[in-house]
Amino acid sequence: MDPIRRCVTQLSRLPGIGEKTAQRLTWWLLRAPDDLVRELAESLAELKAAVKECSQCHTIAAADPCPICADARRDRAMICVVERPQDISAVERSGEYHGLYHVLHGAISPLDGVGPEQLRLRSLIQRAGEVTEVIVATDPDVEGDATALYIARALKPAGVKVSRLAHGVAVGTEIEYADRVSLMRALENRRVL
Amino acid sequence: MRLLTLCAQDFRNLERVEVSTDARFVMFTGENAQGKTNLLEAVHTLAALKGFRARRNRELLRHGQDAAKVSGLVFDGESRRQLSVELSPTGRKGRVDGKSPAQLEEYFASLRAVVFTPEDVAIVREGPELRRRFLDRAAFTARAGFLEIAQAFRGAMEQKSALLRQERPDRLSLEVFNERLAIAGARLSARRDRLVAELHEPFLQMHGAISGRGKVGLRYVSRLGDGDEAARAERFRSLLGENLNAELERRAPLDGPQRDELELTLDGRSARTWGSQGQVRSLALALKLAELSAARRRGARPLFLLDDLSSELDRLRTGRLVDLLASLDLQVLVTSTDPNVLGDQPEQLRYAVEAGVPRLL
Repeated sequence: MDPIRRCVTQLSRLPGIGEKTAQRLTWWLLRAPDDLVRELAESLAELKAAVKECSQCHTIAAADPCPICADARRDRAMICVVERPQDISAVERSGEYHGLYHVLHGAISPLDGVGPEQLRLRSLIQRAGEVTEVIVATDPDVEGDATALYIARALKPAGVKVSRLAHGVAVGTEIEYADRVSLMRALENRRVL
Repeated sequence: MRLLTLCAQDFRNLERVEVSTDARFVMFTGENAQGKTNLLEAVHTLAALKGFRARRNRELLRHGQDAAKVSGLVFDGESRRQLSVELSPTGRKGRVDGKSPAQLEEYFASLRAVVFTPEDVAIVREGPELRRRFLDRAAFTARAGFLEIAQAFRGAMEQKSALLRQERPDRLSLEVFNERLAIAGARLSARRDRLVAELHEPFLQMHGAISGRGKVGLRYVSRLGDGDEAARAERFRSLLGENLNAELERRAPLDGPQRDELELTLDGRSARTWGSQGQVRSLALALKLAELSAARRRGARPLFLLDDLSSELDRLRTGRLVDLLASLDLQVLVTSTDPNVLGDQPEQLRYAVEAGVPRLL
């Protein structure tokens, strides 16, 4: 196959990139300095070879176990369950959580053919035996809510405390300006003082 | 709320239209198939990001075009806002003053519209599905936040249906979706019930004003009973429990608020079965006007879009309707083949529409 054509075809397989953008990128790469293109190619090749799934929490990292699982200072009595590896960094940015993580790689969605078997749930059930609390931080939508409930029920025999991340009004938002959906969520998750 | 201007580009048969709509009554008249209703549908698209006849975006695009745009200047009594919608065969993008709002709700808060078309007699005449849809639509007109309640229920229903279609559905997953469904369904049922309570009085009032005859009734009959939200959730849980095996066997969800009914009666008898053509029209129109009223009581000020006015009611009722609309503080956009259907109402802008081009009369 013609190398230009091949590059366009490959690039247009990326999400959010259509034929036109792929062509523009290809022509840009053709005119770009040689080392820039080589570095890009090498980083792409390395990505799959050097990055693996952590055998404990299933996040994607350069090492197995991942830096968080390997960190002796982390609180090993707590697991925070997230849908995607990139959700970990969001929770980490809060600076408030020092426990371990567990990445499901999705949420239960029969419409998309994703059932409990397609998620990293069995290993979560195993790991839950060694902790005191599991915090479920799946998305606040139908699939995320159902997954959270599924986890709570599946972990019941283990006797571990299961909590759901509260959703609601963003901190720093005055009630007056909170959007109605968030406010509704917050009302639903209200706590007794 | 008033729509001051309307622009449409490549929208249905409207190639490039720009009209002033700054009047209490705006009327589009002309022969059939000239584009009167398309102008009304453009306004509806601006308010709801979708048409009221078209099921797919593509139907809203002018033949051979792959993009359309509708925009308009809206005045809410305090400030003016420029709303615009860009449509493609697969997408829609709404902007307020050139910016995309973070939440759809924000967009919808800028302009609301209630539409009545000749086809709406089906709400009274046809099956309960259309009446539930009317209720959900009316709840949305009154409070855009209702969207999330309706979506949560529909989402859980779709997931559960997909699960039941599987060869061997995972039992714990089914239990979990049933529980989500119980919560979402109870909320939906309770909200619809509350809305019907809000619609009740304006419905009687509006019906009295347009028809003046017969004792009408409006009642929401839910499969989940008439208790509070918690009681309804409990009722739904036990329904789901009873039907578990039957659902697994039939591979489809069976009972729940998806089978609720909005009961309409005329002198104690089912309007659906017993209503005459004229009575059914009055009832459907009264429902839409009640939707408008309920929204106004909640502080929203929707526009009223009235498609094909003369064909809807006889001359007497048309006159009453126009008087009624004039007595309410709202903007009305009307289409009619009869240019004089509004009589001598002051403050009307009239356009003759021919081949997609409106001309000021």
